[in-house]
Amino acid sequence: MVKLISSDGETFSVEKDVAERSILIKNMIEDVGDSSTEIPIPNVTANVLKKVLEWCEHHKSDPAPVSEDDNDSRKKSTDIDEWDQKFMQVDQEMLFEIILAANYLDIKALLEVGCKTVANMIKGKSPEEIRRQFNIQMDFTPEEEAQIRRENEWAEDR
Amino acid sequence: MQSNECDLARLSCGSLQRLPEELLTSILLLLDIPDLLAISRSCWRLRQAAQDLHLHHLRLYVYNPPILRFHLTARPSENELLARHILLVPHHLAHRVHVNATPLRISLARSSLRRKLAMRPNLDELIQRGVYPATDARVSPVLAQRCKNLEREKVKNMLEQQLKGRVWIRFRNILLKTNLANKETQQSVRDLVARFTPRKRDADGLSSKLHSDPTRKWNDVETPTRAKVYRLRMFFERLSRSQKQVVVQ
Repeated sequence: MVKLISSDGETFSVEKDVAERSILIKNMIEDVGDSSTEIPIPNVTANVLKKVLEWCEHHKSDPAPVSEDDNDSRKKSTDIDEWDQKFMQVDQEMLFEIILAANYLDIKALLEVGCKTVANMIKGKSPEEIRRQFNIQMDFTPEEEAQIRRENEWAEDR
Repeated sequence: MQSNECDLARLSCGSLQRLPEELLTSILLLLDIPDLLAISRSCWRLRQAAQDLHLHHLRLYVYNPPILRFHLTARPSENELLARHILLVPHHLAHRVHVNATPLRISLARSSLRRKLAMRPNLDELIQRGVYPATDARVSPVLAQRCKNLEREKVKNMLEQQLKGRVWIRFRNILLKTNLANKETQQSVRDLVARFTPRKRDADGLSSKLHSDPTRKWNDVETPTRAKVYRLRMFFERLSRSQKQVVVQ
């Protein structure tokens, strides 16, 4: 068992297999050489860490990530495992926290799932819809917007 | 460090903009050009990210080739396309179809032209809509203008021709007259010279005796030289001609 401490001080005890889905933790355990020590995770809060560990728990039996140049697995961003899709049905705040945590903890597969989810949220939307979706403030002046629209005119009629 | 960045970003903007550059890039890599265009029109930060050269380099040279390879292997065969009526004839017969297609294209163009001609508004409607001027309705305004110009040119040419003819006749008359006059004056100059020289010589008898050289004596004497006479004649001719012209005009 490995003990992980979130940024807000909560302790999680997980199996070593589960914790080692994260390359960061795996390397830490290897460096320490003693799996019984507590590992602090300073960048991840308890609720996010819980969610991430839930994912790790489900995917603990997955084959280890293969070499870098295996790009076929990300050939289509719509291809998300059904369980992962359900797992990612969280509010946006949490979704981005999970992506950041996955990036920090170096969990490639989870990061990929997160990115695909976000990409799917963007796909096929107009700029206005994207802004609404992600609560983005429009920071173009009307002139800039008009100019950008003119520049993009060639791509409009598709 | 990342969390600090995120905290700062969280205060000012939406969730997508919170992500660090490399995560944003890995998300944008999953999108196609139309979606990238939409993203680039949403806000400045995302515009910069979507137009990032590195992103497009990755898209073109690293990320897309395997996808392309994958899609190429998944491409349906020719027979399949024929079966689904996407390809109408096998590839090796395509050029024949192309040859056959030319008359087909012409007839298509013809029929579409006919259709459009049938849809054309008639003349009265055009006049009503003020496209055609109400006057001269049967002729297009451009053509009418052209006709007018042509007529004007024609009249102008005719007038010029007539004028030229008249001027030529007058010129010829003057030329004939001056030719005659030339002969007369030439004779008269000779006469004048002959008439004046001996008298002058007599008048300057003393000085002529002093100079033995006859040619030199000749030059000293103030006789109207031929050149002077000629110049005078030209002057008067010109004068009379200009007077005549003034009278004609």
